[in-house]
Amino acid sequence: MRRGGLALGLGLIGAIVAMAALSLVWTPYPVDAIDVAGRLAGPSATHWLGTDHFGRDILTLILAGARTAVVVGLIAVGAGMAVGVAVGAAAAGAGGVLDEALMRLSDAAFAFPAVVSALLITSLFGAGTLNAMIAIAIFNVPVFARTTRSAARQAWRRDHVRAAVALGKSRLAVTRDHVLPTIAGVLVVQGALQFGLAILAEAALSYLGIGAQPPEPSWGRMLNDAQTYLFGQPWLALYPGLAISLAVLGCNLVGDGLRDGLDPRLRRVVRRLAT
Amino acid sequence: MTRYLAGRVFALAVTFVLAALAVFAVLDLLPGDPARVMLGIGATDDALAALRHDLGLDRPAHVRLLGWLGDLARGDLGVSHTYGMPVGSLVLDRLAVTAPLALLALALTVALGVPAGVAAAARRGRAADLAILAVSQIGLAVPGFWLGILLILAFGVGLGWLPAGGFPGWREDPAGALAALVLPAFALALAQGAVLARITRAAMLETLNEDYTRMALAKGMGRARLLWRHALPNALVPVLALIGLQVTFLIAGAIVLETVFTLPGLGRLVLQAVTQRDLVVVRGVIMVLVVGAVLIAFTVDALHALLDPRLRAEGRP
Repeated sequence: MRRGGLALGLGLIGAIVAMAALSLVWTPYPVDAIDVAGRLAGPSATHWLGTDHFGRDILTLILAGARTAVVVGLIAVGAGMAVGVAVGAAAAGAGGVLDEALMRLSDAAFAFPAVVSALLITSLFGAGTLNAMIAIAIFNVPVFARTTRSAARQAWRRDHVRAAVALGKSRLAVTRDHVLPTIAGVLVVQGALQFGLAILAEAALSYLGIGAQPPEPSWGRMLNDAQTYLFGQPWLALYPGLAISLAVLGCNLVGDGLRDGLDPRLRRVVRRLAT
Repeated sequence: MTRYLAGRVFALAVTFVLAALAVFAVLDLLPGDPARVMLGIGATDDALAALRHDLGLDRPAHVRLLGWLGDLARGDLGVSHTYGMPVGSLVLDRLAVTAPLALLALALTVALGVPAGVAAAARRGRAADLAILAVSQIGLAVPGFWLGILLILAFGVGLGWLPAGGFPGWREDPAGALAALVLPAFALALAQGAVLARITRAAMLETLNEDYTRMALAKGMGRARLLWRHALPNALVPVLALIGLQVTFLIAGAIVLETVFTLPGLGRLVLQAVTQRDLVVVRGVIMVLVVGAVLIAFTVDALHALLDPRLRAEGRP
């Protein structure tokens, strides 16, 4: 069952990434091709998933939306992980006052979910994908800081890490050469789960109109458009929602599947959040 | 106990000040002129200077910071330029929608998550367990706002049982107002309930493995009594810690779902303020959201400490 979950998850993520890559070289129609006469059409041989209120091909938008989701997810989680791991590793390595101070900071950052920081950033700099990415990255920092700190504190107690300390290596060198490699698995698991959350957050922000701006394709944006036509063309709300759900499901299955392969002591360090 | 609580209160105060500093820093220190942002590109120099004076932007940063912290401490959130009203009364008005929505969602989260987690743990590895795990996996993946749209389609448009959006007001139509919150609360609660079910299941499996539960079983205690009276109260400790964290996400989710269901809550207020560039409202509402989330998380934390004596002795795990 667990193996099956991991395989299914890898398959789903693979499909989303493949869609994103495909959209770079080929889409059934150009992303910005408008056909007012053929607007709001149902699925047909020419438009497999139908057209939206501008007559744009839905399949094209779904493929191109995968690109936005993957790019935003990778950059936002990557940036959040880079900062968060540094903060968490510093807190665990230094201990004492610095540890306490960094963790209080991360507590304060936890009070800012991605939507809230996005609102703050947007109010000053305007809406856009970059600002959405920054907001999602900010949300990821305390998550990775806490996970890294908990896992690193355990790693510092391991024999091979203590041996390195006894050999006279500096705390920075021990962190780099021994602590981080020991906890890398935990970070990969947390990264997979956060990637799913980032896709959810990007979609939510774009739905609210403070993420990707038209004509940039985004699944969340498509859902916002679809809601206007809910009475006449309810299927418009189906495809983007399914795409988001399957992408997130894939990340969660991969995260859970990989977590089961971790050392049981490190397994409980992973944080499972929902947005 | 007192010492533990004192430590938490201190941490709470630090978090408040840090959050206030973060909000201040974003709107006051980053490059960009808030007065220009609010008035737009076509504003005259006189209007800009007048607004800068109104906002106190002509004073040095440290004076503005102290003023902002002092105003916050007195509960003064400033005056909205678009509404011409104190932000505090705007917030109170909208809180009448957002607070019940979040509370209803929290109640649904617990009502869905805890029994599902207990049931799954009691039937570990069997069909019911796998089914609950599969449903929770789906609950985690489906975006709340999409679920909201689907619920509108099914119950609002299709069956016509519940309102598809809008809010009649508590005074005008209390039953209708409550009905308007049911679908958004459910859409909010599904994902959080899924996380809660997974945590409850894991915590229950752990307590069911403890010596005292095995002992009770060996002495012939009934299954229901063992599960609900002995295992669950002990398993609830980590569950409670999670609920404190979930409040923040419930509030963030409420902002999105208020848009899906066109509810006049804090989320709509702040979104409109963002598009109208009413920075005073944005800052005030975000501060209220953050303080609310932190306060609730603190209350849950304190309850957590009351329930688990180990925490008081060792600090946080």
